[in-house]
Amino acid sequence: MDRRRFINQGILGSIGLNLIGIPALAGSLSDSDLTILHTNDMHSRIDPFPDDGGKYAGMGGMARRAQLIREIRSRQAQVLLLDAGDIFQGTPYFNLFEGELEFRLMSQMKYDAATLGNHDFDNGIPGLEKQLPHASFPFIISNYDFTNTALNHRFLPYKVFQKGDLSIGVFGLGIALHGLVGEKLYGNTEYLDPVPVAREMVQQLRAMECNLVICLSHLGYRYDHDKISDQKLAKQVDGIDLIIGGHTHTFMQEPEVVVGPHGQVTLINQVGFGGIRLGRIDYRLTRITGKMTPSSATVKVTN
Amino acid sequence: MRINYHICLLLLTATLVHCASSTRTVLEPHSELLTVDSSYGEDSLAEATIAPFRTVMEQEMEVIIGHANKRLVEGSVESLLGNFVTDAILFQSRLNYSGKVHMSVMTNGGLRAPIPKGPVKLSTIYELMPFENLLYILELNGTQTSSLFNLLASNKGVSIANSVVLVEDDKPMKIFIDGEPFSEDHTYVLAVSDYYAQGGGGMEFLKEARILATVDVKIRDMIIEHIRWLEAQGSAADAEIEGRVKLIP
Repeated sequence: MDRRRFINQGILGSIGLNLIGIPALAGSLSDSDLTILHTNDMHSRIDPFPDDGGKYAGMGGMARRAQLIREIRSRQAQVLLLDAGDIFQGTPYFNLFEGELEFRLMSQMKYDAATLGNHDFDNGIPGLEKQLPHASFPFIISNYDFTNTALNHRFLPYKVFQKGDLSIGVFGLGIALHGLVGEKLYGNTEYLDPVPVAREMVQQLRAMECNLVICLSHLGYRYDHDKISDQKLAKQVDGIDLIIGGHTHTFMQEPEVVVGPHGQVTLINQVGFGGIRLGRIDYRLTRITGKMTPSSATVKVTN
Repeated sequence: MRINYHICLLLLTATLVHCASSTRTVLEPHSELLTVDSSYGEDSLAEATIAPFRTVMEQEMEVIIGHANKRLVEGSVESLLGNFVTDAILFQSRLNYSGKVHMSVMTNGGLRAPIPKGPVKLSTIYELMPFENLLYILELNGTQTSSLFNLLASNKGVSIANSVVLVEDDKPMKIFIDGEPFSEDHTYVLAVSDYYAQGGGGMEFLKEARILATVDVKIRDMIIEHIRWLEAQGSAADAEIEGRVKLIP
């Protein structure tokens, strides 16, 4: 995408705002002040999917993703590269090398952070611990208590990233492990209810004056039953600007806009699995003149 | 390949300072979907990092172990891949356990990749069954067996070997195991991975079942052995949709 098109879309966006009777935009301050790139459920897919007539034949590939990310970085000054878990398991690369290559390639791509997925426990606590030296990026997980495991103090509950003038607070939520991961594999890892943990994280990160609060989630996009999901989280917890999701391998065509209990807006995005897609969300500092209206949201598709 | 979306939010929570009476500065999001395909070149550093790992991987995994007559994929209710894998587990479990084995089960969640038509590489089976799960032989009482078929009838993503079930309104109406009608008073022997035996995949009730044997054989290796055995017989890896799970409309 060239810059020109990006700007045009910005104008289209402001038309969209006008159409629904909202104040005109005074114009962009810049093209993109923050570029968030994200993956989820890469599942050890180092090479592109095999050319076997399958749906995803020839797609993905970490060397191509690295090239794409390199190209984006050459044009955007402020990039935050994140992963929502399940880095491990899915190809023989994991069976043979236990995740070393996945972590090394992600480190080369300069991932800023990842959260933990259930399959990241597939070689047990020692299996994960063994590979951590290959990861130059932190793992952020707020609702697993590792106190009584060998992984105590190896992960962060949240991290604030400074990108240009922006402070971006990131926290991470993992899925309930019981019934999903063998008990011997996750050992004494304790799962905590994501909803109160998320509220606490938002409060803490807002108190630290973060401009943007991002939740890296491996809870799953949505379920037919009661299980907590990204959708339910966004409806119950105010103040998360963006949930980067995983686990359900959902190919979302566009981010979903969810209005929280007090009218605050959360975007949810998830990009399938296997590194087939790279999600990109650009944030622009935009000056809006005029009276703010009650909260509501619309997504305008310009392509 | 790139698709662009513009998200117009009327009110953004990411409001930044600058709150003069009627002017605000907000963070306005704009999303773009990037599909990683051959339109992108390969990063040379990443490629150089991967190369030595790939050489070792290919040496070990590019071995052809058999053939498939058609593409075997998982799916809802009853699937070619589910039938093939549960048949393989049942057959191989009988070689690894001396007692009677009635059934085997597998969920779609445990079938991680299809078996493409044509030569079957060892790597394909590693992708199909990447987990290091071991074989358990369980004895289920009538209640536990009912629970298993209740799950199968409601979930539609569980495959089974050597059994037939008629399903109406998400409930099992008639069950036949090993050719005989199911009886609450009988016990049934199930060949299953340790993951399910320990309550995974929605099979909490299997934790209550009596463990007859824990066999030090990986489920993946059983599938590999089965395909190799078929190949030695001049047969292909194959399955049919044969009405193991019949939905009554």
